[in-house]
Amino acid sequence: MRTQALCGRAAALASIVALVAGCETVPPADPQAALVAKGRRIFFNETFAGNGRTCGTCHPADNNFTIDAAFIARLPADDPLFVAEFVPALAKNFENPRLMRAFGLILENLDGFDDLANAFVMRGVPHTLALRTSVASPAGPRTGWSGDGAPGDGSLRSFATGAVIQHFTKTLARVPGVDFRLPTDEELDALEAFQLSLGRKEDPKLPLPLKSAVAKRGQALFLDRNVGKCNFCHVNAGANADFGGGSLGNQNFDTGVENLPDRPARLAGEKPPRDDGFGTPGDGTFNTPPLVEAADTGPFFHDNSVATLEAAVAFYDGESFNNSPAGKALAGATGSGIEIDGTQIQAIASFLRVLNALENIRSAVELLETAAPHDDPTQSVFKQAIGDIGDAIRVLREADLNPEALAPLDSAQRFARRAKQASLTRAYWLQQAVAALRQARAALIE
Amino acid sequence: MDRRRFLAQGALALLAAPWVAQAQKATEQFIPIGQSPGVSGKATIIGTIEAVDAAARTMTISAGATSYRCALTDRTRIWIDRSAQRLSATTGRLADLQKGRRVEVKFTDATRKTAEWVKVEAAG
Repeated sequence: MRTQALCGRAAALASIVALVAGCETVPPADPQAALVAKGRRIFFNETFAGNGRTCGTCHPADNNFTIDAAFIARLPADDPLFVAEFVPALAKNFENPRLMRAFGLILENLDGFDDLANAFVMRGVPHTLALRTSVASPAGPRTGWSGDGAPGDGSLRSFATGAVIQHFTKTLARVPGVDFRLPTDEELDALEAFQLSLGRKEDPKLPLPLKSAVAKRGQALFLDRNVGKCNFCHVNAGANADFGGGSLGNQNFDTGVENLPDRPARLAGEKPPRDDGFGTPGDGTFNTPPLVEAADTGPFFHDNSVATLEAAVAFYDGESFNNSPAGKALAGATGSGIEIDGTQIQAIASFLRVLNALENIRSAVELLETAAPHDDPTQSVFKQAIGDIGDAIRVLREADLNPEALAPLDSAQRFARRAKQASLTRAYWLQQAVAALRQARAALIE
Repeated sequence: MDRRRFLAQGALALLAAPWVAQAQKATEQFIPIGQSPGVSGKATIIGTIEAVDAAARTMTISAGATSYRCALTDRTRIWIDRSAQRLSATTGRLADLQKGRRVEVKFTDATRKTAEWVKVEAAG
C-alpha cells in the first residue's frame, strides 16, 4: 500500500513537471467551443432579470439536467425553484408546491394564459441530454414533452424564450422589460449550442456485445418485433421511429399514460386537469423520449406517474397502453398487443440500465478528457462527470448487474473528485479516472 | 416484405405521419411585436392595418410599399401587445384590429394567405 502511494506521488510529480513544461502552450481558439462555454454560463447563471431562476434551476448538471423529488428535497428553502412559496406575487397559479415537492411536477400553461386557475398541466422536467438525436422530426422540431414547447419558430433555439416567460417571471402579468427580459439573439444562439453539446451526438448501433446474460436477453426482447416491439418507436434505444420504411425521426404518440389508474398526483388528493398533449386544443399525443438515458432520469412519462424503470417497461404490458391509439395501432400492425412477463420486463429494464451505464461512462470520459474546465467557476463539468459515474454505479447496483464493473467505477469517481479539488495534479487524477472508467466499460461489454 | 407486414408498417406510419409543425403558441402572447425568435422579420409581416372586412374575416396590411391581404379564421389567435405601456399582453378580438394600428402577422404557411396569429399594438 505504501509503495503504491509513493508511486502515485511520483507519478503526480511527473505530471506537475509535464504541466509546467507545457504551460506556454495555448490551445487555438475554437469559436464553437467558445459559444458552448458562453451558453453554459448563461444556462447556469443568467436569471434574465426575473424571479431568480436560471435554466439550471430545473436542469441541474449534477442531476442529469432534470429534477425529481429526492433532488428537490435536498434544496434549501430559498432555492429559486420554490419562488411560489416565498414570492407573494407568485403564490397562486404559478406552481403547485405540493406536487412539485412530492413528484417533481412543474406547472405549464400550454393552452394559454386566459384562465390560470383552470387551464394548466403538471409535467415532469425532461432532461436535456442527447437533444441532437431527438429534436429533429420531418414535421418540424420537437421540444418539451408534447413536442410543441417553443414559441416563435418552435425550435430548440426559441425554447429558452418560452421558458423565461413561463418560469422566470416575477409576476403573472409577464411583461417583458418589467417581469423579466427576453433573451437576445446572441444568448439564444449560445444556449442552443450548449444544449446541443450535452450528451450523445448519435444513437448506439444495436445489438451490442453485452456481457450480462440478463441484459443481453433484454436487448433481444427489445429488438424483437413480435415480443418487446420497443424498437419500432425507439430505434436503437433512441427517440426516433422506424416502422420499416426508413427513419421517421422523432414522433408523437398517444400511448394512454393519461388513462393510467392510480396516478400518484391523484392519490395525493390533487386533481390536475387532463393533459391533452400536442397542440391547442391538444390531440392527446406526446413525443418520444430517448431511452439510453432513461435509467437515471426517472420518474417516467410526461407526468412523472411511474417511479421506476421496471414499472415504466411494465406500462407497455398494461391495459392503458394496449387500449390506447398507439397500442391499438401496434397490435393491428403486428398481430398482437405487447405481452411481456415479469422476467422479460426485468430483462428489458436491465438492458436499459447497462446501456445507461455505458453512456454514463462515455460521457464521463468525454467530459474529463476534453472538457476539464479552465473557465468554469461553478465546476459544472466536473459535477456532471462525477454525477455520471455515480449514476452508472447506482443503475447497475439497483439491479445487481455486472458487479465486476462497480470497483473500477468507485475508483473512477474517487479519482474524478481528486481532480476536481486539485490544481497542479489535476492532469494526473484525470488520467487515473479515465483509465478506471475504461476498465469499467470492459466489464460491461465485449 | 410480405403484404401483411407491408400493410402493418403502413398503418403504423400513418399513426405517426400526419402532424404538421405547430409550435406552442401560449408564451408567444407575451413576446412584443417584432421580437418572436426565428420568425419575426423572416416568417412574419410587420406593418400597419389598412383595412379590415369583419364580414369576410379578412385584413389588409401595408408593409413598406407592399400590401398583404390575409384571412382570419376561428383558429387565428389575436393578441394585444401592451409592452410599450409596460402592461401585460392580453387576448384580443377581431374588433381590436383597427385601421392605422401596427401589427405583426404570422401566417399558417408559405402562401401567406391565412393568419396563424396577429399581434396588434394597443391603442394610445
